[in-house]
Amino acid sequence: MPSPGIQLAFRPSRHDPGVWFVLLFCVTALLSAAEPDAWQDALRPAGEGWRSTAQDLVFNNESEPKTLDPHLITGVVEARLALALFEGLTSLDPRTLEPRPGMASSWEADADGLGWTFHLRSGLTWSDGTPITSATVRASWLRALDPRTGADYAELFDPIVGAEAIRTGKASVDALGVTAEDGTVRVRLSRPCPWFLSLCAFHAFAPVPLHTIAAFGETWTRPEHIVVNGAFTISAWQPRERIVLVPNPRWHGNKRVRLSSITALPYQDADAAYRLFRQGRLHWMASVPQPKWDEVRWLPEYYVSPVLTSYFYRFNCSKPPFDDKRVRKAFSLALDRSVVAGQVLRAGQVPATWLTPAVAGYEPPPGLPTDRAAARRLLAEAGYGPGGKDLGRIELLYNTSEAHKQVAEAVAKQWEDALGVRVELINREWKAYLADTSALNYQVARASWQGDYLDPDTFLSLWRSGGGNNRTGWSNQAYDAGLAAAQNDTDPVRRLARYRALEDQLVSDEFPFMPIYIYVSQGLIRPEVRGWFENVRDEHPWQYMWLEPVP
Amino acid sequence: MNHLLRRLVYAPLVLLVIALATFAMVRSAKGGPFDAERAIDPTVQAAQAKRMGFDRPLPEQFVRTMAGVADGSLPTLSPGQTVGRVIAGKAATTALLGGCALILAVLTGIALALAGAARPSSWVDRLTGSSAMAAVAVPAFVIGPVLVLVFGLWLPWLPAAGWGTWAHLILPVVALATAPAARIARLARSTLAESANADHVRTARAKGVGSWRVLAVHQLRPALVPVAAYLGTASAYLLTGSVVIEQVFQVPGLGSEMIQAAMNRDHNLVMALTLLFGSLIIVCNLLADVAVMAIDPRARRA
Repeated sequence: MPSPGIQLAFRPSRHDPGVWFVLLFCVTALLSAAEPDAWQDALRPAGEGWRSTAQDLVFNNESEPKTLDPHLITGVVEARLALALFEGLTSLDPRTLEPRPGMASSWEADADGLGWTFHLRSGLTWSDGTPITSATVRASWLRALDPRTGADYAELFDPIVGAEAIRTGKASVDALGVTAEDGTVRVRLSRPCPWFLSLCAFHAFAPVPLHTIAAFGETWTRPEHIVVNGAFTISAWQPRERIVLVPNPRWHGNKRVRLSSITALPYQDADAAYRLFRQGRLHWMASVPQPKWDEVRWLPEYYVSPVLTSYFYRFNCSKPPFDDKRVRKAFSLALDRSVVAGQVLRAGQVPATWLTPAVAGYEPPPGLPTDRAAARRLLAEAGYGPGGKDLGRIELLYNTSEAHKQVAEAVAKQWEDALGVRVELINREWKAYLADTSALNYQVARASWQGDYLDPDTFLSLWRSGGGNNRTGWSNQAYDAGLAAAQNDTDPVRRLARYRALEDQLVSDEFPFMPIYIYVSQGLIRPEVRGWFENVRDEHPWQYMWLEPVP
Repeated sequence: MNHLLRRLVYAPLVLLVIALATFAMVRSAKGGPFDAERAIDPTVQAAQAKRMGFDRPLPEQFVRTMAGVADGSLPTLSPGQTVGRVIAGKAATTALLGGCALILAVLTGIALALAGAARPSSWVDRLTGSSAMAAVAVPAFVIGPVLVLVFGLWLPWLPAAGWGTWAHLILPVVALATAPAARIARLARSTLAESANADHVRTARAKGVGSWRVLAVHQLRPALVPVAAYLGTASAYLLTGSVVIEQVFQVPGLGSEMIQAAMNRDHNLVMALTLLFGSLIIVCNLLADVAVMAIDPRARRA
């Protein structure tokens, strides 16, 4: 459990009317807490040298945000802005992603591990001065659960008592296991959810200004209406040109914010952004132009780090030949992933014979190494190959992208060499690709999954029978039962062991998909950007950053 | 005049055909607006479809779409956004880009034609003629990146992408104007060549009028007729070219909005932009007809 959040970073000044309150608060907090927030010490500049640098950061946000409503946000572009504009009960440590105080200054778990009590900071307000209370949190969560809101992420609330019934219209809002009392929010869970504290930092769990929404309806997120509770607020928004954020003076930690502005540019073309970066007009871009990668990767500003995203190929298990698990296994065994990661992509992607990146104490099973003889044997057992049925032309579907194409070509070449099959590459533009995979209108399809939360469950619950993200037609009762058991297991160690057994079933025996590699995030960042850290979610809270040239 | 009237009467019909064809193509395209990598709960998806009006029968949707396009109130996929607001926010950018490109194309095109015609078969004439030929053949999506490479990176004089200052305008305008400028130069040059031996020109020369004056006064006016007639086509080229050029230079205009809308299956926004582009092309062609009539008295009688 984290230590209570004490704001020792305030620099009291005689002109600050709140100084005595702050001092009193610090003293009380010191008396009640064992140790101060040591984690924050490493996130501060050494000395005052940074003050001589203009604190205006410019980054490429890669697109125009579709919405800034934290409950409706689905993309990375929007999430980067939401991280600056909204704050949940908790926030994430910029290095380790551990839950840190947000709106709540502290919290404790219920004795049975199935509930949390959050203590809100006093005096929380929206950027228009309207107070934020524990009732605001409960009402905001109910809004996210209301189907009329149209929140894609409403399912993430399911571990909370009553949430699933409410969002599917089977129960009234009174059924929600969230009680708002004076300054505290109590949450009851219906099943273990070790990632719940991190979820509270996720934008779908952020409070929303219901008074503003009541006044303006859907248009509340327009720059002239929007009201926020995060470290920054919007000062200018020229659509498809730039969005400028400035510190929110009403945010509780405002005095610790060092950037004086953040400018988000919407350039979708990584090449265009790269040109600006080379001209010195960008501090950070979270992608690199693929055709220039050989040039970019030698730049001192280049960074690369593994993220919580897995790249794999789905097999259509509803139709021959991939309705036979021996065929699926054969195709997986025939692939040498190190060729894909090491010779095609070459940016440090981790070749993987498993699906789930190591996360939150979870160690994925090793899967099976490349074994072409065994692959050919399996194919023959299934009745295909010389003397057997003809596999015909295997169709490999991917969505239009140079990188996906290169991977597909490398995989196809290996399959052709190892198994003597003919492979046809089919590329479809994004929406058509999604329609084809959802309708099981493919044989083998490129896919990827980014973990919604730091737990193996986000990768392994995909394969539940009939689940919307399964998209392979694979269905297995033992797996479904095992998944339910893992999700309800309150013993943390046994729980992870159950998930590991489930994943082992997928990547050693059943193969509804074949894993290929674990993604990396790549980008360019200027050395003067401080307080920015690589992490597996590629998430970078803005309130810790500052600009200071390297000596 | 009859000709103009006929065109005016046909315009709404043409737009209706464009609308029906676009509606049919957009709705039959594979993949829908709510398809995402992460599957959305059916109840949530139904709520989103309802917000967009996609839950109603198709004929009703078409009528509502047309009405919503007309008054700009049609919602786009972004919550709280309407097609009217999107277009209002971007139209000035595309108009500025296209307008500057059109002016640049006409001025340089005619200047090149005059320079060539002043000394027929000289090296100036040959150079302008052959470079115009080459420029007509090179598409805007090639010229754009080449300009960026030369003036943005090798000679870092101009911003390589983006929007906001006059400097940002130069490269996209030049890239967009190159092909129509070349086209205008060729059109004007060939009419100038035809009229070089016309009676009125020879008479003017015989009277002792200076060669530049003959060119600018007696030869230029007939040479402007095909140029004016071409302006309708040129504006259509500039509109469609802006789709490419705005993407290359990351210009926040209607062209890049169009590409995004199509990729996102933002049905309503695609409809609105297609109808807007269609109307603009019809209007530009009408204006070109009017311009031809203003220059050429014979056209007025037709």
